[in-house]
Amino acid sequence: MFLKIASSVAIVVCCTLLGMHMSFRYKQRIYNIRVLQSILANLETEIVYYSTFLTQAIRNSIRTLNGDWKIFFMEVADILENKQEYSLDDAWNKSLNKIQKNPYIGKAELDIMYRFGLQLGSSDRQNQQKYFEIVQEQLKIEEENARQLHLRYGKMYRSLGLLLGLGIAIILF
Amino acid sequence: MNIDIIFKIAAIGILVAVVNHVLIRAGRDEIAMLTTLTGVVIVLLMVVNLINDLFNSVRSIFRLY
Repeated sequence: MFLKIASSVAIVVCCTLLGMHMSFRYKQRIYNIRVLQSILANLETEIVYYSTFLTQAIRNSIRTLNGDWKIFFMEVADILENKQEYSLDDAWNKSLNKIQKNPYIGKAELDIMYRFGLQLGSSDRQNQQKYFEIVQEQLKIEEENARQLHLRYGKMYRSLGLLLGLGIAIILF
Repeated sequence: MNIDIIFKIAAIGILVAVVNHVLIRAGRDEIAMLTTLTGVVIVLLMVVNLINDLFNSVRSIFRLY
């Protein structure tokens, strides 16, 4: 009897944690988009006003921030500095491929960043500034989308986890 | 007669109702429908033996061989 109760509790706890993890993904995605926005704002300042070299500009703009996009930008800077790839495009795409499977980053942001990578460093200052503005706008829309998804499905996954655990425990009891 | 199965079925019924409600609130009506069906199937699987027993008893009581 004791074993039965203990295993049922274990099932319920595991399913609840799973549900919380699923709901955490939505929350973390919003956080990541916000961090990405600040990184890009910093990068814009570095490029448009300070005219720093790109690797140094990237390192300066991610210094105080956290999150999954920081890893991406560090990767880009590392690849360019170590001369594993010589063009920004290649370094950018290589790093994007690496974080593609990250569950806390949405496909839409990846797409936006992919297109942004094609344009980064390909024109003069005014144009670059324009691209930065476009990307910021797109990211704002994505943030709003992510927030709505979080409101809609975050709660659902949390309660579904608990209920599914209870269901399995009752059926097996 | 084992009374536990009645409580079990009642618990599954309540759970399915709550899951259904949560899913409909989240706007996933088709998955809510699927959950309800799953609940019905699980309960049917649980009671199919008992129904068999019932029919056998009826047959033997009224001598319908």
